[in-house]
Formats: sequence, C-alpha cells, structure tokens
Amino acid sequence: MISIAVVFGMIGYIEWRSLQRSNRKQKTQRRVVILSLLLMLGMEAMYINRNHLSIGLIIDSLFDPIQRWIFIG
Amino acid sequence: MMKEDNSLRRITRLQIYMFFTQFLFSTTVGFFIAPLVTTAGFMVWVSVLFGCALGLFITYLSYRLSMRRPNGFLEQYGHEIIGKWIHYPLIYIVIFINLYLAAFILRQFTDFITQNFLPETPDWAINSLFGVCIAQGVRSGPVSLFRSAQGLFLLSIGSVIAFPLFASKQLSFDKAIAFVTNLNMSGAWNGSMMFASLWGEMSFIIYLIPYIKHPEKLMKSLRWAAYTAGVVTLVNILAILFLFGPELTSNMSYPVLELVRYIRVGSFLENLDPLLVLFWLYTMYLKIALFLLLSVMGLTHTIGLKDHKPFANLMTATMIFLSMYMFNDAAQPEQIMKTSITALLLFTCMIPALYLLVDWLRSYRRKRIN
Repeated sequence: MISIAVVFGMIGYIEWRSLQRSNRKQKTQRRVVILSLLLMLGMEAMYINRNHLSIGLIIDSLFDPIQRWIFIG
Repeated sequence: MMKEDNSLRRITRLQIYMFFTQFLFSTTVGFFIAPLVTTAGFMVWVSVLFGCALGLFITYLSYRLSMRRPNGFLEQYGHEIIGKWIHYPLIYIVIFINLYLAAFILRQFTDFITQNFLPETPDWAINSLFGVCIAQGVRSGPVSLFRSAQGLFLLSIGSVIAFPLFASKQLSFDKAIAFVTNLNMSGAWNGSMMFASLWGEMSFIIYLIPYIKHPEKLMKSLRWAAYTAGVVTLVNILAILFLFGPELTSNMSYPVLELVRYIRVGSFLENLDPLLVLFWLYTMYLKIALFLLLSVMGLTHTIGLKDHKPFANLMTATMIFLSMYMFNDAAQPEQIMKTSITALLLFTCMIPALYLLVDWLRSYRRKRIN
C-alpha cells in the first residue's frame, strides 16, 4: 500500500518537475498531477479491495454473457 | 478540415508488416494454443483460416474509416461522427481496455517466467524490470516502437518457426487423417471467433494512422502480416497436434514450451529452450508496449495534451499494479481466456466499425437531403 503511494508520488513529482523545467503550460502541469493522484487512489482502492473485488472478474462477468452468445454449444 | 502534418508520417509499410507479424503470433503461439485446441480440436486449422479472414475483414472496416480522415486521430474527430455523449465514454472504455489488455498480457508473461524459468524470483521484480523496458518503449513513441520491431524480426520469426522444425522427428503424421475426419463445426466456429478476435487486433492501427507513411497502401502490409503470422501459428499448432494430440494439448498450460522441450536433436540443442523462448518473449514486449501506448495516446488526445510523454511512466506503473493485483490467483487469467477475452477483444476491435457505420449512414442521409 505504501509502495503504491511512493511509486506514484515519485513519478508524479518527476514528471511535474520536468514539465516545469520545459516551461509547459500550467494547465498541462495540473492535468499530470491530477492524473497521478487519480491513478494512485484507484490503485490503492484496488489493492485494499483485492480480496473481495477482483477487476479481472468484474470484466469477466460483463463479457462472459456476450461470449456465450457468440459461441455455439 | 484537419491540416496534414507530414513530419509525423515516419512509420513505413515494411515496419508495419514486421511489427504486426510479431504482434499477432506472440500471445497466440504462447498462450492461446491450448484454449484454441480445447475449443476446436482437430478442426483448429479451419478456425485459423476462417478467423484470419474475419480478422482481416474487421481490420478492413477500420482501415476504411481511417481513409475517410487520414490526417486525424479517432479520439479527436470521433465526436463529429457519433456525438460527444457517446464518443467520450466509448474512448475512455477503449483507453481502459487497452490498459487492461497490457496488464493482462504482462500477468501472463510473469506467470510464464516464474513458473518455468525464475521460480524463486518475486513477481514485483520481474514486473518492474520488464515495466522499465516497456516504459522506455512507450515514452519513445510509436515511430521508435515500430522501428524496434525490425531489429529482431528475423530472429523472432526464425526461432518460432524453428520450434516445430527441430521437433519434426518426433511428430506422428498418422494423425493427419483426423484433420479431415474429425468434424466439429461448432468447435470450428468458436475457434474462428477466438482467432478473429486476435487477428482483429490489427484494427487498432486506426489510432496510429497519422504516423503512417502512405496510409492508403496500409492494407497490403497488414494482409501480409496476417498471412505470415497465420502460417507461423498454423505450423506450430499442427506440430503440437501431431506430437501430443488434442486431449493432452488442452491440458497443458504452455504447449509450445513442451514442444521446445521435446527437441532432442543433439547435445548442442538440448538446452536451447531459453534462447528460443527469448526471441519470442521480445514479441510479447512489442504487444504489451503497443496496447499501453494506445492507452497513453488515447488519454493524451482526449485530455488535449501536446505529447504523450508525461503520461508514459504513470500509465506503466498503473499497468504493473493492475497486473499484480487485478487477479486473486494464477488460475483466474486462464479462466478468463476461456470465458470472456474473445468477447472483450471483438468488442474493442468492432468500435471503429461502429464509427464507420454511423459515418456511412450520416453521409448517405446528407446526400439524400441534398
């Protein structure tokens, strides 16, 4: 859990610094920071709920009926 | 009308051919042979031929749409076709599915490596090392990625073709009659759908059209890539069926690896499997990198950023965490390959066809009004 926050924090900070150094727009910098926060929160949520809620199985439950419909027998 | 930017157009037709040949046979040869044989049995050759044709047709629809606006990205002009209320949710779904597919293949790759070559190594170490390579590839952009496919093309295709050739002495060709006598039409249909979903992945080229030199001649390269990868896959599947038969093959996790381990030509080749597998693993790198790149580029164009680089590392980290935590155990990816991955891939491949249909209907209506 901590490693997810550390990885996203580090990457977000490095990207933000490099955008600042290359004089990119404030809007771009803001979007990169917001995206890194959103992705970090998403991954933390997935990690916390990994035993009750598997993303793979959610997608499987969405597409399994379609595959049954496509396949014969 | 979008302005043409020729500085982007640096991916050649040869690069497209070489990239997509490796892209298509990578996971098919590695992970899909057992589910394909389980589904179609000896009729798998029909599935390969029909699936290849269907996949090319899906790709052709995507190509037709891209030829209507060859200078723009679908993410940017799509809302003019189907309206922003459908376009943006659809594009976010595509972005997520591409990320999911990259994570899914990375998970399969990690499971394969840990089970067969690095049993004591933790998953996070393999994921991180492979992830760093993928992040570099994605950050470099599509032109570098397609160019890198040229580097090992002959070695990777040579090694995969070599698997059955080296094992040819052990093959039992008496089983050949079963390819004609063991009719299983429903299995052949289901196998064709699986194969079409894999070959239909070529339709993702629509997201890269502004990078391609002479996009009007694109279909020829894709067609040849589909044929070459089809032959490579078919040769491997036939060799595996001649060697193990459908019953044993469907119970194996990695039939190609078992085929490679059967090679007993001489002492020199006996321990060659890591070397042969190495070049095949490179093709998997290309596949994961393309899925991730499409996801990153889709996000960049939808959000309205100038270049994709600031998102490359963030999305790679997301892919790594997804691949580690989206499944509870190693059996789930195998189950998903049998139950839902075909529908998921077909759904994603058919999205450009949906845009094309709406675009055709709208232009037809406009013509009738005028």
